Amino acid sequence: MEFKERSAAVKAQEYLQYLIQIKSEQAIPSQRELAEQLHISRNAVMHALERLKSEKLVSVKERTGIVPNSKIDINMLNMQSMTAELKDKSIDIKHLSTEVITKPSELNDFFNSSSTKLIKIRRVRINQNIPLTYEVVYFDQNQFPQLEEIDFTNKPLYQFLEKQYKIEPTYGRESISCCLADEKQSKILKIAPNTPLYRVQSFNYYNDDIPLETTTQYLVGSQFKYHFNAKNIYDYREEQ
Amino acid sequence: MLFKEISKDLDSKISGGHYPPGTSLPTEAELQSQYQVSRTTIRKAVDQLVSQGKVIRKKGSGLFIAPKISKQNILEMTGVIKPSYLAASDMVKIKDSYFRLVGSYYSLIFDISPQELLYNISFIASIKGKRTLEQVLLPLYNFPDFDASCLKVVPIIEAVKSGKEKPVDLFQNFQLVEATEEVSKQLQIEKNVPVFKTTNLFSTKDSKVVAVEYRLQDALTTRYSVDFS
Repeated sequence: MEFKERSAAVKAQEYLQYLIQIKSEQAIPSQRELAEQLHISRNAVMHALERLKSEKLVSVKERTGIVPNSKIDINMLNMQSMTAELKDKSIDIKHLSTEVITKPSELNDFFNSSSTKLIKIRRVRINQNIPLTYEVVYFDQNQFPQLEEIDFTNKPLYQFLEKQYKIEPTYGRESISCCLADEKQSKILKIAPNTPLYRVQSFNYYNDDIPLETTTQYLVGSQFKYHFNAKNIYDYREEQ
Repeated sequence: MLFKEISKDLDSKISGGHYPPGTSLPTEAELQSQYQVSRTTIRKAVDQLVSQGKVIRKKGSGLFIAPKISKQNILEMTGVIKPSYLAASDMVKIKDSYFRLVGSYYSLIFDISPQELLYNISFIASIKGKRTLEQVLLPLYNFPDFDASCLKVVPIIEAVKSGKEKPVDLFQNFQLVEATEEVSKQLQIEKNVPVFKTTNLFSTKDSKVVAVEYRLQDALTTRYSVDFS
């Protein structure tokens, strides 16, 4: 295998990543300073910034220069509710609506066949007047009739379920995909139509695989990242 | 020697680790001179191993020892995020493989000197017509004789186990980014459309990172799943 020198743009990109990673107290050097320090062209610095901007790792501002961005990092370690995941942020939960609907066919697989009506709860999570997530939760109406009456403004669902029904989720699966905000979503999240969103669907169960709830969340793509921490990944055989 | 004896001998060398998963088997010509038998006998012996799923014959690239970790195994791992079409068979095309300096950023990640060397391997995997752009960074000290062509048959999660220090944990970072010009060309999508970027850090029981993998996929056509218990 041959040896290759990193391109000037890659050097600049990794140097900036290094500065962000060590969380240096000092401000990030200007584009001109970076070019001088690394003995590379301004063009290479701009190319590096394009790559970092495409990941929303930095933003480049007229007066302040290159500023690192911090996304909200969601730890999907285990069965945690969104409220637990966002615990460090001052988040307001706004309850948009609760309605009873006929079970849509795509949820037939999840809910028991005996359930025909679902309670649909729509909420938005807001941080300092900026909407972050829009979520739609479905419960079986037979199972949790009281939910219909509750105002979930600033009231975490899972805390309520634990208190009222002594229920905690035991198993879940999630799927993550991406969609572009439609008109309704862009209004609720106060973003431009077609902004990329994470679309996170979760299916949660309690005791002996009884369906608890299913949620669809829409999160503004540029504001969030996820991380997963799996231990002993090669021990999967033992579980079988 | 009968072809069955040769097949058995090769089989024991595979299970004994003489030929680890993902490495290539000697060519039929080499095997022929090794065992001093006809080419037909060698072919029958190899065919038997192929039909038993122990050896993979890749058109144009030769014979490889089959991976131990199946895609089904990966799908069953809990707490790991994976694309939902993983189970389908794929076509891997190595784009680039070379050594580079570790540099300041990866010296933090791998906790080694910036002057050491890293393998930089990038490839395109096509699964059901969907393209995935992969980049793998491996420190030379841990993988003194890594063979990039093993990535044609072995999942990365298994390939990163072939080094001196074995990873046990996986830290994954998952985010929506925009396709740069370079990425849009490789994935054959428009510039600036959303792309999912998965960063996988494989680390040993002492939390030392021994492999980094970046995976880029068209966000609008890829769905991921993860199970928790």
